Amino acid sequence: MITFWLIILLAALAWYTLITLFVAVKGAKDVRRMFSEVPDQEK
Amino acid sequence: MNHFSWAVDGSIVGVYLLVTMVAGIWVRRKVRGVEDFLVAGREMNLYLGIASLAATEFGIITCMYTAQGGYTNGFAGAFPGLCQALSMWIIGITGFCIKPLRDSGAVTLPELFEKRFGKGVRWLAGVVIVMGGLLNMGVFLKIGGDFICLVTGMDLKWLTLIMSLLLLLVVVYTVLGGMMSVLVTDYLQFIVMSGGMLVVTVMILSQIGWDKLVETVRANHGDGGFNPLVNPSMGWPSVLMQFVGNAAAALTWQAVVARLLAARDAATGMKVYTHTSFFFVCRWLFPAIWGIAALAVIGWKPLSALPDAERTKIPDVIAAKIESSPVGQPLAQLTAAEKTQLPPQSVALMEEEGLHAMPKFLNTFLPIGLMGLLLAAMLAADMSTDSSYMLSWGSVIYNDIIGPLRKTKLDARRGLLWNRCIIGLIGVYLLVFGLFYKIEGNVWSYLLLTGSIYLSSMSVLLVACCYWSKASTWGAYGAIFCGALVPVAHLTLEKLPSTSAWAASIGKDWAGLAAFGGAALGMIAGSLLQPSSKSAAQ
Repeated sequence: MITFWLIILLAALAWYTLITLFVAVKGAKDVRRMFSEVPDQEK
Repeated sequence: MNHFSWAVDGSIVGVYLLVTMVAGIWVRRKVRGVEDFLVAGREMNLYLGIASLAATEFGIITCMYTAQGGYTNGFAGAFPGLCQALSMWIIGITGFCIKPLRDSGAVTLPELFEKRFGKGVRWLAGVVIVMGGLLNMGVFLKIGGDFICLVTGMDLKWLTLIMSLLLLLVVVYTVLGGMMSVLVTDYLQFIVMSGGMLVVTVMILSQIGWDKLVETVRANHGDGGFNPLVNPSMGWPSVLMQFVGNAAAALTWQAVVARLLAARDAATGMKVYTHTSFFFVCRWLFPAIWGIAALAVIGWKPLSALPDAERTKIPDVIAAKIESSPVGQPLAQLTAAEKTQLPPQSVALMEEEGLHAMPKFLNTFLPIGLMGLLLAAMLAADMSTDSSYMLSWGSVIYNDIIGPLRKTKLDARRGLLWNRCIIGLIGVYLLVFGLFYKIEGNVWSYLLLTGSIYLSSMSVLLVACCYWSKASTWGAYGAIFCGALVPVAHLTLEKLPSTSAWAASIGKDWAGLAAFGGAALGMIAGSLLQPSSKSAAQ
């Protein structure tokens, strides 16, 4: 079980680092796209 | 020694709060009506969805109870994360229930139920969802405030002020921008939160070391620290409840479902589920590592939680038994007579030691600068959770409890005003409930039990609604009633002095499982006894 938890931990560290970088870059594009498709409210 | 520096760490936190508030408030100009406010105009894409779901599902309370799991159960304490990840992935890849739910175009779950079971079920489902959700969320602020006080070394008397300020900031941007603000702040908060979590975890592994963590778990928990099935405080009922409860949460937890419903389409919503699933392993395992590190460095010393004046009053025999108690269970070796000799406030302080060990450890472990990053990360995590949860329960109150009672539909301006007022009132409730309610035992078990008030009945309703042609309105009422009855009864019995021991002997896991069994039986019995005209025709 110790090896199992070690593998899970290493996988979690690697996956989380990658997904954070991906989301940081691509999430910003998603925010921009969302705003471009929703117009400002009428004054 | 307290490592928190107000000049350095306080500035990092201040910058984070400022950026978040500016972004959250700036977004309000995009909100034109209720649909923008509640589901961001259904314009959420994959990566924003991942950031938002992950940030929502990790708050300070998550960090505290998962660290408590690591401290009191070792690596086995992170096992629920595996159950949660597996549930999310299977649901995401198959689209089980979530595809028909997103395709239905509903804003909330009860809105979907109305199409199959009628207006009465929609209204009652809304009440159950809000009741379970608010009970669940009621403890967030208190535990978040505990963390901030302990990690910065502030006196716990500042708890109320900190809770109020934190809540005020969250309420301001949620009230103004709704889901639009929540998505944008979630994105920023995900990055800050993830950076903090990764840095702290890597630092613990590099400075304390994997071998020491393993040795600590082995010495304190034996095999049960690695395998949940042989852990005396977990075992089969706990493992089963984790699978069932987490699958139900992935299907029906309004804060999770809100991301699905805000997605551009069903395919995007399903991808958000599959791509975020492994995050749940991380959100359990990293804080569990922090909890194990706390055990390795500061150990299990429940008496140290007491002020000197209280500690010296405890008889030596009792004190010795408390000191040698299993981790996280200071009263486990005491007889009933011995327990009565301890003042209730001392018992409360010792029982909270398992919860408070991690922030106390981090307070002395992290250097200046990283303390600020950690605090900003945890504030980010907490604010994103609080804002999303307020919006989720607020949407159900507006859409499914108040909405069906109104004869005419509100215009966009008044609809927004109603939603904003409801969120403000939820904020007031959180502050009041957080101050007065005290959790008994393990925090995660409390959350799962209060959540099962609605998780059980709503998951049964959703599955039946999507896939069982014989499901009827009476079956839906039966599921809601039976699913809510068991957890409410257990929580009540737990609070009554004459029945608290009996309720504790049953345990939260069996009570939670009974809620799911009761809801399923209620649905089957009600549907067979009183088929609806629609299902009978089918």
